[in-house]
Amino acid sequence: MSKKFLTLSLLSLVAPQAGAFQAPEKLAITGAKVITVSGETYEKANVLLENGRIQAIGKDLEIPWDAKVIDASGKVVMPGLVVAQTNEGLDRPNENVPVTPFLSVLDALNPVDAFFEDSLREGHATILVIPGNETVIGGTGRVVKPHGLTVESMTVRVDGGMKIAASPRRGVSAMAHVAELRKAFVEFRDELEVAAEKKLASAKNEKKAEAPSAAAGKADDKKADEKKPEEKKGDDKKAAEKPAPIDPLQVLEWRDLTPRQRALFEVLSGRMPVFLWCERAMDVAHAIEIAKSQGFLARTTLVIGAECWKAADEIKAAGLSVILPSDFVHREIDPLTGKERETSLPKVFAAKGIPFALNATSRGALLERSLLLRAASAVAAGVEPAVALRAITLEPARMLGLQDSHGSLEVGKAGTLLVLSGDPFRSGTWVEEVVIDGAHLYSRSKDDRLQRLTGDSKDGGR
Amino acid sequence: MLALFSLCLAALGAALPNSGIEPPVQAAPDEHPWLIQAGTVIDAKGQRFAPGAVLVKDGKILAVGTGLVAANAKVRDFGAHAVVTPGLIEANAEIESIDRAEEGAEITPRLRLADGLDPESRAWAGLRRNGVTSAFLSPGGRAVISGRGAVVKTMPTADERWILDPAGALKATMGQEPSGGNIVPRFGRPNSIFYRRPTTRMGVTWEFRKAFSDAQLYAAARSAGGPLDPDAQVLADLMASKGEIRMRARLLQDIRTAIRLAEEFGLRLVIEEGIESFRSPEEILAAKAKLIYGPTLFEPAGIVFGFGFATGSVRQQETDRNYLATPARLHASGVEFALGSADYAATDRGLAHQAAIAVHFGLPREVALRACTVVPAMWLGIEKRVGTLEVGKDADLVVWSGEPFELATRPVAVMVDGVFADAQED
Repeated sequence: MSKKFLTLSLLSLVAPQAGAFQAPEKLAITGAKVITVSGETYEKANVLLENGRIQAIGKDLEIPWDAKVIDASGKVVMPGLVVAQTNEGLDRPNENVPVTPFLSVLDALNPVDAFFEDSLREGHATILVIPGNETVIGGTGRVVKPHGLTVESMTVRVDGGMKIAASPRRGVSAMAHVAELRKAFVEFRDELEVAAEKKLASAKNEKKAEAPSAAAGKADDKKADEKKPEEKKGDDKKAAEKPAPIDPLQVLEWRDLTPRQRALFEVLSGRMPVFLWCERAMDVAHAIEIAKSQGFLARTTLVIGAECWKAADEIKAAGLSVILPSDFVHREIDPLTGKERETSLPKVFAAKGIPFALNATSRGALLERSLLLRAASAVAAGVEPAVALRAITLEPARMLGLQDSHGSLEVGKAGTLLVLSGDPFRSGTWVEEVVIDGAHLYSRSKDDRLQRLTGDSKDGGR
Repeated sequence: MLALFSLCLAALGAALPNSGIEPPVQAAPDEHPWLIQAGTVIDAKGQRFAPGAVLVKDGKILAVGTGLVAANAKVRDFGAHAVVTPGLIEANAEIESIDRAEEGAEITPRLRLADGLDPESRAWAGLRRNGVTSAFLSPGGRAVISGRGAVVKTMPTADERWILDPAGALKATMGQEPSGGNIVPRFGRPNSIFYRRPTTRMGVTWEFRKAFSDAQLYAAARSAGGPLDPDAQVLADLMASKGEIRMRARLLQDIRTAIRLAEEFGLRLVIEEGIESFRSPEEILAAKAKLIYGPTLFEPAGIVFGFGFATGSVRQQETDRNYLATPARLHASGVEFALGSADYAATDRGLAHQAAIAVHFGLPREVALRACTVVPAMWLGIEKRVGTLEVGKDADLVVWSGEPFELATRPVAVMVDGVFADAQED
C-alpha cells in the first residue's frame, strides 16, 4: 500500500515535467471579459478549449467536470499576440553572403534564447522568426511559439516566409543592391529554364523510347508538342529571338529541384509569403516593381522603416500591408526652417486604410518591448483602439497566412490566448496567464524575475 | 531692450535653425477671456470637476469649476474624453542644446545656467509636448560643483518674464560622472584639459569638501577685509543661509556621500536622479532630503539587461541597477518625491511619459500628479504661481486626450501664461 503510494507520488512529481508540452485535454477560462477581436466582446463569459483548440465561447457555457479551470473573474481574455516578424532568437540574424534564399532559420534558432522567455511574458504567443535585413535574399523564416526545447516542437508553420531586402545593406549603394537583387532573380530564372528544358528533353527521350510499347497520356502529348520549338535551342541567337514558350514554374516540380533552389522556387510560384524590407520611402517603388515583375506581389508584406509613411499612397495602390518599425514615430528636421516634424505611422496608415501590424523589439526601449504597450502608444497617437488591437493580433496573423487559426478567438481556432489583469490599453494592466494551443504556459504569479522587478518579491528587490 | 533682442535674433537667424516655436510675444492684455472646457478638470488640490472648465484672462486663472459661463469668452471645448490638469513642472531638465557645465574646471559655483539660455532652442517645444509648463534646468554633471540652475516657463518671451529664477539651486554631482573623462597624467606632457583629477569617487568627494572648507576659511578672511573670490563667495553665502544644494547622486553609495556632505556643511539637500533610492528610503527620510527621482531608464536591468548609452558609459554603469517599480516603492516607504526626466526631458521619454511609466508600475495616479505639479512647485519655490489650478494662479495647464499618465493618452494642448502652445502640430 505504502509502496504503491510512494510510486504514485513519485509519478506525480515526474509527470508534470514529462508532460510539460502536452496540453490538457480540456481547459476552461471562466468569468472573464472576452475580447474576440474578430467578433463581439463578451462580459463575464467562459472560454472552453479542447485538444488545443477553442471549443466554445459564451456566457452560460457548462464547464465539463474534467476540465482544468483558470478563474479569470474580473479579468480580460484576448487572443495571443502575434509578432509579424523579428530576427531575434537567432544566433546571428544575417548571413554575410548576400543571396542565400536556401538558408532557413531552422539551423540558427536558439530555443533557450532569453528572447523567447521574454516573449512569453509579454504574451507574444506566435512569432515569425526570419533572417535580418542586412542581406539581399536572406532565407526563410519559421512561425514559432515561444515555448519548447527544439525548433520542431516550437514550430507553428515551417514556410514562414522569405526575407528579401529592397533597401541597401550596410556599405552598399542602392544601385548596386537593387541590381544584385534583380540579377539574383534573372539568374535563378535562367537556372530554372535550363532545368525545365532538361526535364522536358529527358521526358521526350523517355517517350521516344517508350513510344512503341506504351501509349502516352494526353497530357504528355500536349507537353511534347509544347517543347517542340525548344528542341533547337542550342543556338542562342535563335532562342533569344523567340519568346520563351515554356514556363519553368509550370514544368518543374518540387522533386526536380535541388535543395538550393526550392525555397526561391516556392516564392516565384506564389506559395511562400515574402517579407520585403524597405527602410526608406525611395525603396518602396523598387520593392513593388520587383515583387510585381517576379510575380509574388500578392504574397508580399512590406517591412518598413519610419520614413516609408511618405510612400503610403504607393503602398495602398499596390494593395500591400505593412509591418511598422517598433519605434513608429518618424522625426525629421527641415534643414532650412529648422522646423521639426513628427509623424506617427500608425495614424497615417490607419487613416489611409492600409492594413498594418505593430512590431516590438526586445532590443529597444521599454515601451518597444511589448506589443500591448506598442498598441497603447498607437492609441495615444490617435489610432482607434479596435484598429490598434487588430494590429497586434489579426493583421499579423493574416500576414503570416494564419488568419484561419490565429489572431482572434473563434470556435475551431487555436486555443492561444492571454488573460490580462485589466483592459488591454490601461496603464497597470499585466499579462497574467498565457495559454498556447490549449497549454497553460505562463503565470505571472509564478514569474520570479518579474516579481523581483516590480517589487513583489520577498526580498523586495534589494 | 526689445529692439536689441530682435536684432540679436535677426543676427542669429542665419546661423541658428528656427525651433518651430512661435516668435516670443509680449503678453498683451486679452480682450476676451479663454473658456477652456473638457470632460474633466483636475485641479491637483484634490478636486475633480466633471464636466469642468477653466476661465483664463491676462495669463491668470479667473475661475475653475463646473458650469462656468462667460459672456464674451472665446470657448475652446476639448470634448468629453479630455482631461485638464495643471501644467506639469519638470523638476530636473537637462537640455542638450544649452551649455550645462564648464568642461575645464571642477568647481565653478559662480556660473549660472541662465546666462546660456537659448530662447530659440527646440527643447522648449519638446518640454511642452510632455505637458511641461515650468522646468528647473539643471547644470550638467561634468564638474563637481557646476553652477546654479534656472527655473523657467517653457514658452520663452521677448523679455525675461519667462525666467522665474535665474539663480536657482546650486548643483553638485557625486559619483563617477565628474571624473568620468579625466585621465591621470602619468607619462608624457599633459596636453588636454582631461589630464586632470579627480579620477575617482574619493577625488570627487574631496573636491567638494575642499571647496566648502576653503569657502569657510575665505568667509573668515573676507570678513576681515580680504579680497573677493566670486566662487568661494557663492559657497560661503550658501552655508551662511543654510541654503539648498542639489546633488546628483545615483547609486546608494553616492546618495550616502551626498547626505554626509550636506550635513557636514549645514546645507539642505536635494537629491537628483536617485536611481537606487529605493534601496534605503529610511536614510533619505532621516536626512530630510528632497528627492527628485528619475528618469526611469528605458533599458532597465532586472527584466532584460540593456545598454544605456544615453550619456556614455558612466550613465550605464550607474543606472543598470535601476528598478521600474522604484516610484511605487518610494511612495510605499513614505518618501515624498518629485519626478524628473533629466536628459530625456525634451524628448518623448519626458515627464508625461515618466509619470505614465511610474503609474504603470504601481504608483497611484494622484501621487504621480502631485509629483509632477504640487511637490516640485513647492520645492522650486514657485508654488504661489503654479502647480495647481486655482483662481489667481498662472494660467498654465495641460489638456490630455484622456486620463493623464496613461500609456494610451497624451497631452493634446498646453497653455503657458494664458497662451496656447502648439503642443501637437500634426
